[in-house]
Amino acid sequence: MSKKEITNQDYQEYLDFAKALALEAGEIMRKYFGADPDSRFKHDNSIVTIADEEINDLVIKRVKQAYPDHDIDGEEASDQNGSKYVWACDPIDGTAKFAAQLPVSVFSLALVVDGRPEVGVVYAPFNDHMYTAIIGQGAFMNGKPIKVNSKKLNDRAELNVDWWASNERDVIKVVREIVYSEGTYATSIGSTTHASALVARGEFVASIFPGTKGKNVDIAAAKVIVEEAGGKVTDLFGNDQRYDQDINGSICSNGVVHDEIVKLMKEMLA
Amino acid sequence: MSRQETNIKERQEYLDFAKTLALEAGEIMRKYFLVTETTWKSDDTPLTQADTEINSLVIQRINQKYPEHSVLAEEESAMKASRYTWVCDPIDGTAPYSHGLPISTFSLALCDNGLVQVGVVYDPFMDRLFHAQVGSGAFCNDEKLEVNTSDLSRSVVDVGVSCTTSPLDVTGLGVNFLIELERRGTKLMSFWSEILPTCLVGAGKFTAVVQNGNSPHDIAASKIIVEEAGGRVTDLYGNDQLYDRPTKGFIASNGVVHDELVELVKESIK
Repeated sequence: MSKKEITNQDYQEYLDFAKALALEAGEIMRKYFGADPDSRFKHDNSIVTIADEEINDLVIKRVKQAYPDHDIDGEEASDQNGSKYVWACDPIDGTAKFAAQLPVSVFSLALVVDGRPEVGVVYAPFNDHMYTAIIGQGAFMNGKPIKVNSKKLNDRAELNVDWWASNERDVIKVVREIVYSEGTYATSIGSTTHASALVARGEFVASIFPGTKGKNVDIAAAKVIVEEAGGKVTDLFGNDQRYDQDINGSICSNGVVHDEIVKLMKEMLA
Repeated sequence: MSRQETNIKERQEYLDFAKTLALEAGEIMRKYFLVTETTWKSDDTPLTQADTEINSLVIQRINQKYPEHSVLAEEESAMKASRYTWVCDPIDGTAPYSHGLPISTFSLALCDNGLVQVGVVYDPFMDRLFHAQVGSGAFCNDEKLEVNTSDLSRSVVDVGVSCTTSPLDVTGLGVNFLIELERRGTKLMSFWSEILPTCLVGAGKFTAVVQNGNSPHDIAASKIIVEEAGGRVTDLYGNDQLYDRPTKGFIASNGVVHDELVELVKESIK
């Protein structure tokens, strides 16, 4: 394929495509919410539901129809041929919560171009919140511009952290330090992608995620949404990273608190 | 007044009253959702207009209908010399509510000398009304609830965390408690508020909820829902307790895993 610029019209088309797909995915999530039996454990003790697989299949089908030369990186199944355009999708971020009938889960889809997320959509179907962004064009929720807050860590700030006892990085150590020294409130809403969207909307100052293997799909859309809302997204140690391969965790923040969190990560985890 | 048991006719009347009040409270929660201003209480937890308005409504309605009964509620109480106490959390999960996440509930229980007689929990976003009275089963809307029969492996357990402290410390049980659970194959979750997950123990979605805390309004209503669905609820140490006064945390389970969790808690705390 020749190296050509993506035009504004292309970007808008990609976004419209992603939004339409998100709405379809949301329908499936609502359809299966509360349905029984709908879930099973995967080998790694995580949970997958029928809805995950149905949405993942739908995404693969729709992308193949619309953009046959693009790749798809989905949490449950992928279709990759070495294109520089990769649709990174987490069909249901927060599957365990979804299976347990707690309505916080979201659909997440990003177009990653040469490792960089350029179009992103996060859809929360249970409160009908559609977060969208195109690189360089701002971030929106349900069509209205959103932006990060400007709080510091000690300014009645709240942050989200994802944790599991056996996770790859002991980010809780760092969060505990922040909570004790700055009085920040730490919580864990159960969907790191949804929490990152809440950073973009100015609700949280940061969202910290220790995931690595296969977890680029959790953050790809959030990366462009949070940054277009004025925030910052890096790996756990402040480095930029590609979103078409495994990541080294992530910090999504309002920008203001970013360096302080990175500094603690380096001191305590490096 | 002569000392006698609350009879089934009285209980049905109390339950109907509580259900009506729960639906009214749900209206208020939906009305202020995403438009509410958050203020901060002296213990640094958030408060919204909806909390205050629902709490006032509960006191007003109970004073009208049962002027001799006490009301023990999260934001404001009206205590009298009565064997009957209504225990209420106007919004369980004020923090997620204030962020526009649809996972908060209204909770109301009636205690007779500390023993829960009827309990109602309402999720106004997914329109789920959980209810139970002693001896008559537990329901979500009209559907009868039943706990699952899982052991700790391949089952989902919620361990209470708070938004005001760091997740792993607030359990008061230490990290080892969580690591030990994961070692036994349990899928751990933490959630902002424990009432909805506790009701979902009754629905068979969660196998157990463990929370270290002393607020009776966090558990009074869901206690009877879990027990009437066939499960078991005790304090953290496996003992029965009264629910119109400070509690010693709680374990709400399907019954199968209860003793094992009590043992794990005891080992973790000593």
